Amino acid sequence: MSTKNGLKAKPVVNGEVDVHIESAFHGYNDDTLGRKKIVLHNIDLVVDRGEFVCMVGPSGCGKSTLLKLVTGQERVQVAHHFDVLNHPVGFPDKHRGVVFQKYTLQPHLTVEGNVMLGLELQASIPQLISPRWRKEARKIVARYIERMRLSDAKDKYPRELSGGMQQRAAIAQTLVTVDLFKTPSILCMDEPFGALDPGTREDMQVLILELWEKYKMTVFFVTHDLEEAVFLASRIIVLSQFWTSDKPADKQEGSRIVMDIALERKAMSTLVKKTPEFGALVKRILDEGFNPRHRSHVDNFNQNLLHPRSFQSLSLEESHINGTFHEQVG
Amino acid sequence: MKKVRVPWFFGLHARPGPIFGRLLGIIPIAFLVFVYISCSHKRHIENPSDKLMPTVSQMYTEMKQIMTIPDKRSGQIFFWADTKASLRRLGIGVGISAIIGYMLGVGMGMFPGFRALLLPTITGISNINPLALLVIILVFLGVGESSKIFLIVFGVGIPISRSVQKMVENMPNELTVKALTLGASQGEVITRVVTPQVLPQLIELVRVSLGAAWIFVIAAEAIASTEGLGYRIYLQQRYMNMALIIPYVIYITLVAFSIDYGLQILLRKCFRWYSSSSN
Repeated sequence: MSTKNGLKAKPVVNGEVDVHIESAFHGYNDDTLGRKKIVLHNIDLVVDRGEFVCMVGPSGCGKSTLLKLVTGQERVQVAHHFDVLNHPVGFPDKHRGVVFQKYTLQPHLTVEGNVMLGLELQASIPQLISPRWRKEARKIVARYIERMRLSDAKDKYPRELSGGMQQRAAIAQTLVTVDLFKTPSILCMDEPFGALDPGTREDMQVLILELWEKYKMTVFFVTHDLEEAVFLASRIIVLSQFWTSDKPADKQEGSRIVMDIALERKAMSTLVKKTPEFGALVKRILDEGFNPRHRSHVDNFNQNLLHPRSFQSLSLEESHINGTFHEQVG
Repeated sequence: MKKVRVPWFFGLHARPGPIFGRLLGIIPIAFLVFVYISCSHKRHIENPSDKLMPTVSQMYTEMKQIMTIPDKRSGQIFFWADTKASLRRLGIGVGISAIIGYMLGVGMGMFPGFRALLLPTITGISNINPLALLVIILVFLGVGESSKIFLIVFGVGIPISRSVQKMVENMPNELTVKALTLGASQGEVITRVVTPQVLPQLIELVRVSLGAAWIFVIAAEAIASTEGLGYRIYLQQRYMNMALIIPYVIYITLVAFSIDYGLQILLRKCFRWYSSSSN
């Protein structure tokens, strides 16, 4: 593995890359500090098509913020590159599907209406007025509803459903356009199963893996549950504010990617969670990323940036965007 | 086992029950009616030509006259002409208010540029007392229908637009993002997501605003009009004709009540997702 100044070098980025982030900084106004507080500190990330990326990290590490930058809900403040699907990241669009923890369904539509929404919105006008197309669309909707075991609830409104049913409907809603319109290419999920009971949760995990294998889409999955992350991911990214460098303390603000691990896809059984390797990995992530007393040094990041696609760009001081960033954020 | 007795009326744990509960509600009304009738009866014994508290039969004769006998000059039955005129003003005024309130509210709630453009003006205007402005409205728009409708729109439409704006801003941003990621255009976010969710709340707002709208209708009619429920009341005031004024006030109340009730039913019938969640 080639290194430059002790940093892991950037991999070749070609057309098959879904997300290309380099030297990204993001912050927000903090009234108690009287200045901008940095949340994301020099994020470098290249994600290939079809990867299941789980982002984990201590609370407040900015994993949801990073996801919002990818979906376009927020604009990244400073970055050398922030490309999604080979274009500079734009506003939310049909290429990036989202599933939130809450508020994912439109309250005024039934389950069927909610799942149908994506098809209706992406259909052309001739399609919309063609009875044949509508019949086809309804068939697809019915198939997804059945697959999510929601057939009995298809005429119910979201308020009348349990949390698990709502989340299943939301996933169907997001994926329903895959067959006809090949959208979304990237699926972004922000703690989608956070509010579910353990049984339903496991159920949903298996379901999402099945769908991922079938449609080969790129998934970004934010969770605070390490077991969930290790079970689902083909790649785990640990974002953490607990790191250190030789620079003054105030330049060490914000989270960095402290771990980046490729996981082999094993047989898809929830029994994996009981194996010793599984437990060891969970423990390792916990020690390296979540422990405020264990701060890995920037120079040693290489030890944990094990994914072949992981890399480190120059640090804040050496980067030429340093000046602009401090004008804007510092 | 000894049963715990749930009190009917007194205390935190009282459960009046369906029949007794209704009965309780009637008591104050019956009491007020009784007090009025006995007072009016007493006054009429002392002075048979008392005008201040007419008896029920006097009110009945007055109302029967105005509801059935056409006016000699115009051939109109005043009661129905008044009702029609007032309801027309109310309907047009509140209708325009709702449309303006929806457009301004959704515009300001969803589009930051539009909000920056209009919010300071709307906030300023909403602090003007519409009744204080009435004279100016009359001078500029004349004493015709347009000034009355303008008064309602000014007094009701502006507050509705601000409430709609708040409502739209309180809608979870996730719903908009979700619609965009499903392929909605900016316009479709408004038509497919925001509007259907605003509509039932807009009806709710109209219900609340009707009280204010009635005030403006009656006030405008009292000052400059030739027909309408408010006009009739203030006209009869000159003759101290309480036998007509009191039933008219009761009639206005009943009309207002039925409109409110009708809207409530509309809400329940047409927006099941909304009423099932708020109840």
